[in-house]
Amino acid sequence: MSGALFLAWAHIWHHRWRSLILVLAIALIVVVPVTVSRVVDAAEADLSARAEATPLLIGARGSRLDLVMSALYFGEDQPDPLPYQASEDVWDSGLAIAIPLYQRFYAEGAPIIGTSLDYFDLRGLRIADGRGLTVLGDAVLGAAVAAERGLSVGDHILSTPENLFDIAGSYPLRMPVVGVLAPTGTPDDAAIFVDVKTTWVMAGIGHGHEDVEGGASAGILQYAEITPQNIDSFHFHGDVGSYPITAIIAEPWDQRSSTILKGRYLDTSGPAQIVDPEEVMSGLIETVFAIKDVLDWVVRIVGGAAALAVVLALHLTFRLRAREMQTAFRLGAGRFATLQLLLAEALLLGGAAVMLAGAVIWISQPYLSGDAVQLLTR
Amino acid sequence: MIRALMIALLLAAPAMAQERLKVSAVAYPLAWMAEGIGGDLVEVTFPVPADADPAFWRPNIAAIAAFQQSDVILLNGAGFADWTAKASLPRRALTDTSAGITDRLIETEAITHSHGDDDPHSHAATATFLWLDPAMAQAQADAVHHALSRRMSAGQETLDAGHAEVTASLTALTAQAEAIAASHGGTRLLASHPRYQYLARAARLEVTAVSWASDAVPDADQIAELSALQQQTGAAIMLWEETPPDAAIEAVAALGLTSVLVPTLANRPETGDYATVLAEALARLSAALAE
Repeated sequence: MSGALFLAWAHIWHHRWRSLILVLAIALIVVVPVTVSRVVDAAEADLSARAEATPLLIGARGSRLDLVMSALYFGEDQPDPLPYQASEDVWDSGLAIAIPLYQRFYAEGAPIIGTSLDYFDLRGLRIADGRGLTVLGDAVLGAAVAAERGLSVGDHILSTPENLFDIAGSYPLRMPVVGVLAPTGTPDDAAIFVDVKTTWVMAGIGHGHEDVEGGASAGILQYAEITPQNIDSFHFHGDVGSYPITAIIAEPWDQRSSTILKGRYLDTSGPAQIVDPEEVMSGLIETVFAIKDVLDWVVRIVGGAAALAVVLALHLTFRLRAREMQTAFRLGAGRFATLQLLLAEALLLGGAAVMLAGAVIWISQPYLSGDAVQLLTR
Repeated sequence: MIRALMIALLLAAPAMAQERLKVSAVAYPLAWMAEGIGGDLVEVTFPVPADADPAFWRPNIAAIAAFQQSDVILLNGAGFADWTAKASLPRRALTDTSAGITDRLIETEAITHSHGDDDPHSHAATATFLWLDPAMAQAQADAVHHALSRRMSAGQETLDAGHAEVTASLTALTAQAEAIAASHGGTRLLASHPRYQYLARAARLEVTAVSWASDAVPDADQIAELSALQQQTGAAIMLWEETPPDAAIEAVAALGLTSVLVPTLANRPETGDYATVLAEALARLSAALAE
């Protein structure tokens, strides 16, 4: 057998480019279905885990999926705003912990999430460097935001202006980075967290006096900054209950509270809806699985066709080598020896292809989870 | 089910571990209520330094971080200690003790200002020293009792007993205020600082205030302003939130005004507690009115 392997290797090496193409083709036939399956499985696991960790969501009536995607994955499609009073109403009901979320602004390309400290407890977010949110204007970065932008505690970030010509409205806010979160492998890594009141300052609802750097008429760089010197002058206008938020995470005290709370949003003419993220996600996952079934069939058909092509290529190769085999036969090699030679060659090519496919799958494994969910949530 | 169990365990954790519930308060009377109601079940923190005015105190980062670690944070509401509106505090711990009595809050003169070239606008202001009306303090004590009860999985009897004791003290104070209202209702007084709105309402007194530093001797202009107010109101009593310098007492006495010390109790008194100090102050006021 070792002689057959030697001769097979010599033949493969002599036709190395042709052999390489064959190995790549076989490896692809293995990699594609396995990767598709793993992407879908990873997406399902991530979606399910995030949804399971989020008891209930309250938001303005509209797309349930948009509400869940916005509140859980900080997607770009935002539901209509809800008055902050809706969050206070949940607290006042005594049925659940209410965590407001307000997502409207961006900094360094990452979404700014205005929320309360209770969000950090709910998600189990831990400060890896610096401190947590303490005063108006503080910003805490997700691990990926800090790593990818090279930001650390002590740096400043500037919220993206919504409208450069909005002189009477909101100015960008310059915020100190006071903390960086430990990585979690969730969308929280890619977000910037501030107190919900800080987002209201960005929205122009709260402001200080003489807080615009460069002057309103300078027109070059205008931003507000909350400092120990001017924080006392910051104040909010109007009723706090009317300030905007985009969603409320509600964490009921028990099953009974959950049922009663859900009942309060049954009136479809009301401005707010309550959704169970797990339920919405299971709907999405079912859709993903339906797509996966189709993909599986496509992969099976294409894979089968590719496998047939490989078999045909091997068959033609062996036909082309008929004279070579006949010479070997005349030199005394039996039919078994000839078969051994062909099997050894197939074994080497197949083995190389499987090893290559395994390596590709192993290397890509860490990237599948996050990227898979991004594919589905963007 | 697992989540519900975890929440229950988290809430019950302090009691299960025999740890005392950590309670922080932004005003001394709230700390007094929490101490009275919670007893040994609570560890009450009132971090405002003795020489600072809790209404305007600005905590540093460490002090805010300590507040964030509390299981219950007692707010006075009505805009008192407005640093709380600019700090990140866990909503699950916050209890606004005046949330249920907003219809009984007293509005004061609005603050007007403008931003740059914008038109001036006003912010409604609210009188903040609610606890000087024992009936308002009772509502706050009820809110404190409710907040502690929600957080404690055990010890409800202790909380109820403490609440009953606090209520008894406040009932006695209410009776004192009502007695003043019955015998001297409508009497006009002057005050060194505009902080007695709720006391005035409880005792049906009419208090007109100047805005003096209580540790300084008033200058000629201030005396002239006070004299004009005294003639306008016919007041014979001047309320002070702290013991003023002798020269200040003599200066107002020259106008025919009797000085009466009525501490506002926003900060912890050197001796006694909220109930005893306010009872003494009401007794002094009653005696001065009777003269």
